[in-house]
Amino acid sequence: MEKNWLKRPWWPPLVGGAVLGVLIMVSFLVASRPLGASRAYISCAAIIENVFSPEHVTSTLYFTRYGPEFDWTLMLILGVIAGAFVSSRLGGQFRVSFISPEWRKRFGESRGLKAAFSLVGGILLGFGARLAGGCTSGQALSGTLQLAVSGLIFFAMFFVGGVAAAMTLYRRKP
Amino acid sequence: MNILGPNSLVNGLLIGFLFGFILQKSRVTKHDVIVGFLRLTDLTVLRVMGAAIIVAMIGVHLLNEMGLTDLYPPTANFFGLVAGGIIFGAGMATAGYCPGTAAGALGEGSLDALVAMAGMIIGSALYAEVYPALLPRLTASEAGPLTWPEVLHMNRWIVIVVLTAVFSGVLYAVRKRP
Repeated sequence: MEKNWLKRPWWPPLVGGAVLGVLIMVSFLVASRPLGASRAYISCAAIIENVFSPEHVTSTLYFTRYGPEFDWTLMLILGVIAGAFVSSRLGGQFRVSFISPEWRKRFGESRGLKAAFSLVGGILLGFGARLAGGCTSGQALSGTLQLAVSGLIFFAMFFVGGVAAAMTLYRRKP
Repeated sequence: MNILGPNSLVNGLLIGFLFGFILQKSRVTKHDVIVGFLRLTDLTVLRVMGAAIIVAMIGVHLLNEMGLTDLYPPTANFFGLVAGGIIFGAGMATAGYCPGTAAGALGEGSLDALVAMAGMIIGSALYAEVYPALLPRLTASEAGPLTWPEVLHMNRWIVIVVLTAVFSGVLYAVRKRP
């Protein structure tokens, strides 16, 4: 087995999780904030809309809270892309793809259908995260570890919604 | 250039880099691992999240006891959490990603994640449009940054010990599952 942990194709999930826990501590110490990814997408939406119609952005109530600023979470997302790129290259896992094996097994080769799944799923993710005030990182992880009531509720709800949707979508063909 | 603080773009990029590195090594950037979690056929996501929560829960509260960090618990809005959580879960099953792991998936070459990320921007923008209509409902169920120690009138370390025991128990119980 590869001795250098950085070059291993993957880490055992409990090890990866524990290291992630330490990174969350670092984030509290250095950045004075927990991890949270979903905010980047509303910032991005505000920035894009601000290019086409600044009047619309100033007159939209929600954008008074999440304005068109290039904020911390957008840098976080850029960092995530870079970090996963380096990690996958080091571990020999980088592969350009559009359809994953399990999806192909259930739905076939259509890239158009896959794109529709990704787009619709993404819209639900973006909308749901805003409504819940966070996502897997901001609510389920950061909320739960800070003993927030919201974290466990979000965890339970996304699990219920996710399992129901996955069982429906991936039900075996009769 | 400020290195510390919540608005430092430098530490945002560095922490993001490490976040992406760890997510990729933990395999939660893969579509099939996320969907496998929701189909209950692959519990990688549960193990990663469980271990992260146990370590960070104890660690962050120790740092807080030492006066090294404040806490920033998110607010509990019951309507928002229930409706938003269910919609979010359905999105996760459909796209096979969540907001953080989609970026990681893109980094390892899964180009479908880019479409999902575009969808997230659209979904967020849609929310901004309907927000005024939802506001009365949201305001009515806003409970502020509630925490379990406040609700249960308990010392937080008791809550931490109980949650650690529960999460460890769950991880132990599923140790033989894929």
